[in-house]
Amino acid sequence: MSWSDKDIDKLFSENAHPEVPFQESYWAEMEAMLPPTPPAKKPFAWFKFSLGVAASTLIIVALYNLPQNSESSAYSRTSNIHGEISGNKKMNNIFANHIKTAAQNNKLIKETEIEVDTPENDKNHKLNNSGKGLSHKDVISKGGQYFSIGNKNENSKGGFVKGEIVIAENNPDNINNISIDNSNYLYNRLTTNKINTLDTKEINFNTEFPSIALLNDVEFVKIPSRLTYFVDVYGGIGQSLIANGNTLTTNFGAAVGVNKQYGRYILGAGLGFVGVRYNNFKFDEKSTYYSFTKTTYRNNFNYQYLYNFQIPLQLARVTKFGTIELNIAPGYTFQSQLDYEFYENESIVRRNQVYGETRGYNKFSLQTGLGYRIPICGSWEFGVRVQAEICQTVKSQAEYLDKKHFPINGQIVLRKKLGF
Amino acid sequence: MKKYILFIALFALITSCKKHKVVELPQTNSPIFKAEGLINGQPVSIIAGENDFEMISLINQFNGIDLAGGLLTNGKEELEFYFLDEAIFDPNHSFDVNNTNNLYYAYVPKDSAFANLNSSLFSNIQDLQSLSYYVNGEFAGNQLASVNKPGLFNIEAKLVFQDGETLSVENPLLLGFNEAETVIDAQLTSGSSQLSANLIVTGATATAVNWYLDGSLLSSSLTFTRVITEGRHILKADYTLSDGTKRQKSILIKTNYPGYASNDFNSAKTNIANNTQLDLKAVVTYRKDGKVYTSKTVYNNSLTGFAINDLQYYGIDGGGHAILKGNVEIICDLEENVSLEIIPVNLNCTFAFRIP
Repeated sequence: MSWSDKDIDKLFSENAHPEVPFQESYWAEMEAMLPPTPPAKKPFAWFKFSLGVAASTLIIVALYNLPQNSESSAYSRTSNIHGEISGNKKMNNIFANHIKTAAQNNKLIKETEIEVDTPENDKNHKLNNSGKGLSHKDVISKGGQYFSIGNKNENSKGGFVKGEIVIAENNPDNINNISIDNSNYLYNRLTTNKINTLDTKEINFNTEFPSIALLNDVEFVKIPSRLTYFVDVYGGIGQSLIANGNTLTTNFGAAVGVNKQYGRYILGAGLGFVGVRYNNFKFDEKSTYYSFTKTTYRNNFNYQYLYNFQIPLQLARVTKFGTIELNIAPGYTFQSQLDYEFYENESIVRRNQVYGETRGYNKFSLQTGLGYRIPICGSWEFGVRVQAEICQTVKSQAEYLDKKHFPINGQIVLRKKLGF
Repeated sequence: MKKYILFIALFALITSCKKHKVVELPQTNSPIFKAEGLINGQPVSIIAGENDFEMISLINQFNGIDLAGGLLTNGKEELEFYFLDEAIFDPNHSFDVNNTNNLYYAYVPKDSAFANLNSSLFSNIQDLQSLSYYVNGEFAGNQLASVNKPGLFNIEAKLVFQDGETLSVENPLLLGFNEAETVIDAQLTSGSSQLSANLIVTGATATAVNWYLDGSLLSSSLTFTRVITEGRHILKADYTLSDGTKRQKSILIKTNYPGYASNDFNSAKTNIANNTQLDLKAVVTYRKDGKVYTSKTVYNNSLTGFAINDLQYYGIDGGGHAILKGNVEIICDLEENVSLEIIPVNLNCTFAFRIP
């Protein structure tokens, strides 16, 4: 059976008023109309059908609404739809059918996963596609399969639907528009969304009126990989194992760099500055010199700060949950601040602050770590990472204290993505 | 652009912070100066820097003779080694680090007179009323005195004449060391006040001489003839020998009395002094528990010699003196100066020597 405009108008007019009683025959009729297998590609069939829909339209689109300069991939998109529906099961069946049709027609939706929830105050509100009843969050349908959403209880005041549409990769189309046509009685407007981000876009559906989601003309464009820039500020704490007893360190820094994205993978490089504050980074240097008699000398170093330049190199992978990155950062210590004491025969001769002294450890360092970032708003990201020094050790040229390992750091990162 | 400028300025600020230097510690080394071996059969290890021992390089003033020396001491136990690095009156005959075969331990006979000072030194002075000897400024005796050790001594004879006049004659006397023999030949003519003098040197050549009469310069010629005022005078010759040494001789003369002259005290030397040759000789002294053991009073024959090896420049001490470091093999006997106990010593040492 196919729907004529007259049928659609009739259907909508019947369901535009909540006082219209739910009739089981409608539900059966609707189910009967749903084809058992995905229909053949008919680019304009759904469009013909939508002409008859007079109900308010809820359109659920999940977008990766990438900020203008963020990493992006043209071929891998996940968009979430989230909305509320109201009305009887017949209308929700129509709604589901339209989602499906839209997906099929655009060839872009590799997979759809729609979850249906019901209001807490309406436990009898059940959705299913076969009359068996679904609890909230049950998966109704996945890509390639027909699905239906409907209120079993026609007296329900509404439902809740949210979902995820994973856009097919390697889409040859070179268009980048999602047009959400709310051509229903209520709004009758056209919303156009660019899918160029991994962000989730939520659309609230009208709850006062029976709603039908209508996806229209979901199209993609291949966005070429390009360079993006970032500024990181970060800080954290670390565990220095160099001195007697473990020592807590604090660190802070900033970096600027550039990223280049290849699909879901990102390569990054930058230049960073890191300052590390030590609480108990002490070691000494002793010598015993024999001549006409014996003289012992001792230098006590209590490092307060070490300042390093780093070249952070990153390999990241973008997932729908955030960005996971591996990083490695060769570094060079260029400045320091320490309390210094000089003893001769265990009598203190000199005590002062010293800047720039880097003896006792190698200036070159190599940190490696694992990080995770999530977008927080706009082009800002927040992340955490753990780094371990694997190269820098204390020299053994003199009689230093025992430990010879450098810290493990935990940091939080705030990243601002830039474009020029 | 402003961001980059700010960043560069921050970098420049950080890197331009004043850098206080850290003291560069000297490289830890092993003990340098030490003496290890056996003393009286007991193992000994004396290390400068350990157990409060320190190495002291010194010029050992041995009765007026400067000796190169080194001392390892902690105030309770001491090992001292010093040697004469050259012949006293022959600087050209110096210590040869490549040939130490001729270096021996000094032997100084105990309780022996090296010089006998008596009135015979003034036997030609008929009107002498009294005579007192002073050694290095200290009273040594009337008419008679002796010097019982080697060294360089200043001998002064204070003379009182029958007419009440007093005069002093001073001469250095070197005992136990070789020196060129020098004699003042003074000729006085009877019945006149004419003085002729000549400096006779045996074993060397006088290259310069200044003659003084009672402290006033009289002549700078090797020989001279002058008419002087009548009476007693002290004639002194300050001279330089061809080997560079400077010495002086003084005698007492009296006008009109040809035989009225004292000698220069050389005749006071005993055979012991003449036979004791301390040039290029070494002395070892060990002190412990209040006892003093020395090699001076033990005759260590040439077979129990010593050797100084690897003598090299070490540095400058606080007084600006050059310090040499040498490895010294000491094999000798030492004698305790009270009990006369003799103990054998076999040590390998590294000493610091301050060269005179």
